[in-house]
Amino acid sequence: MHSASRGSFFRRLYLRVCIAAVWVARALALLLFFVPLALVIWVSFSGDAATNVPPSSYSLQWYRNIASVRELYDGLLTSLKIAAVVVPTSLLIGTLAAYGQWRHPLLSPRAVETILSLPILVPLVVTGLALLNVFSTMGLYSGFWNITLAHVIVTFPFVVRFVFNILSRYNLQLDEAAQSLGASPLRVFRHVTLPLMRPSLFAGGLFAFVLSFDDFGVTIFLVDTNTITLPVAMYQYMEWNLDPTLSAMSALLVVAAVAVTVICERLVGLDRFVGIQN
Amino acid sequence: MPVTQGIATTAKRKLLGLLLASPAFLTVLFFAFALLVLLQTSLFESTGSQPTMSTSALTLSNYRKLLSDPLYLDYFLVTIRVSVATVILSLLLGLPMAFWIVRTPNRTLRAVLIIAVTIPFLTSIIVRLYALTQVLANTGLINQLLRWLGVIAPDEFVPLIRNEFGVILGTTSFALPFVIFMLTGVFRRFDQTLEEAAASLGADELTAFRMITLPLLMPGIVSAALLAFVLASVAFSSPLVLGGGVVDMVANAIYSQAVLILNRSLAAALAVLALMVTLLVLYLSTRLERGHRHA
Repeated sequence: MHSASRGSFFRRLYLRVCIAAVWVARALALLLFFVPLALVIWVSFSGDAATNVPPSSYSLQWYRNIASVRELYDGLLTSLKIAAVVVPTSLLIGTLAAYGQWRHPLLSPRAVETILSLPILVPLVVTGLALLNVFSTMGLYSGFWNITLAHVIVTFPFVVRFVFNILSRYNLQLDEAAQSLGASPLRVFRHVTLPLMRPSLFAGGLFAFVLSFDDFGVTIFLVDTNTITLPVAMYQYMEWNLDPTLSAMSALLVVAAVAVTVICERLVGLDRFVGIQN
Repeated sequence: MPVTQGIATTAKRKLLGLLLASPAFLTVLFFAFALLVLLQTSLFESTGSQPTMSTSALTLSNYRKLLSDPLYLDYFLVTIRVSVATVILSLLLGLPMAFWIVRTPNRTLRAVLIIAVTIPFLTSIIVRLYALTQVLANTGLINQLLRWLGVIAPDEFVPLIRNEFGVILGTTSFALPFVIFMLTGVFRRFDQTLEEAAASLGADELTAFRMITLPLLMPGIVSAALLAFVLASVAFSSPLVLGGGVVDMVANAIYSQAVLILNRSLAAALAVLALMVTLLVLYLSTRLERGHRHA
């Protein structure tokens, strides 16, 4: 009797320790995510010439400075220009492929998805090196177009996945109903299928934008002196400079990421976006 | 007549489907071609930045060099150490987070937690690593805190950056959202009534978790671990920014051989090895995942 109650005491203590450990792990995960981001926002308001923690004075000068640091400003424009070509291209070829293969399948959807997923299974640096090699053997030296093509290659498979995902739940009878009422296949697609695919297209397009805008591993192989994307420009800047301009730029990008996250949650639901629910 | 017409329309439809998918298939074909060129490059002696295949003969010398030179052995060892540490850390932090997200009865809290994992997921990795350098640097947040608390003298610092510790934090921070999202997917499919059954038979929370929940979730946890391994083993930006040139992993060796030292053949051989390991691990992971779903 005595030993049994002692046993249950240790057992309860053990349970308490386990539960405490679980909460410590949760706190550490959130700290690992958010302490750096909060710190970079704090430092971005510094008035000091170098990044000091804590800043000794505060100002908005580093935000104003972003526009005068040519490499960062040009990097931002370059990244936006590349994404502006990559997103519609990926959406177009990804949607056409997924819709075409779903409506008139040549292979099983699983086989199609596997084949079209090849680019996202390959590590980014391997992709970067492979494309650098093939572009230089083919004599293609336009940094802008090389990076754009590379980004299309690594983003469109996600569009295929998002669109396949929604089409697999889509009722083909809707198409047939519209067709039986005399609508041409093109009209059916435009007025019935396309509106139903809209959330997937939005999620796919946004995903393509984020991947293209943030990519570092592939792009660093393909940049040339005229075409340097923002992440690469930021990396090069931090190698040689200590001032908080980069913190200001980073803070803006963190705010943009928060905005994108909230918009996604509102419009499509993050459950779908991050693939928690199928 | 109607039968042949049927066949004709089926063929026409298949052709239409193929036509619609052709831009995507051509893009993948081009990419596959690039990978083949990479494989070919790795099988020739390097002649500078432009691998000229016609002049020299096929050789495995690049691979032999990679597997025998202690310098490359070192890259592999660092990569394995960092990857294994990342797997352990991201499971230790990811499992409790994923459980929290799936099990909390509070819908608002769940939405907030998902948002909290998505924000870093959607933030540029360079921004996150730059922010981490400010936490870990010799005059960064942690060292300043330690100075302020009097744990270390003003001219001392704890080295948290330019070493494997810093790189591991970087790769963990990168892999963690992927691991959490994968685990939440696995946990959602888990039938919670099994736990209730165990509880009704007298098992306490811990026993039910250890004897019922954990074994059933194991395949999912292993595939999350494999994903973390794949993500960490080809990490490029974390060692670049947080390793400060001291901690170089395989991906950094690929980049410096290809772009700085201009030995494309050796870089290609390293890349082919990295690709093979990645595909092997991903293949194992999908097999586990599929087995889990059928179970």
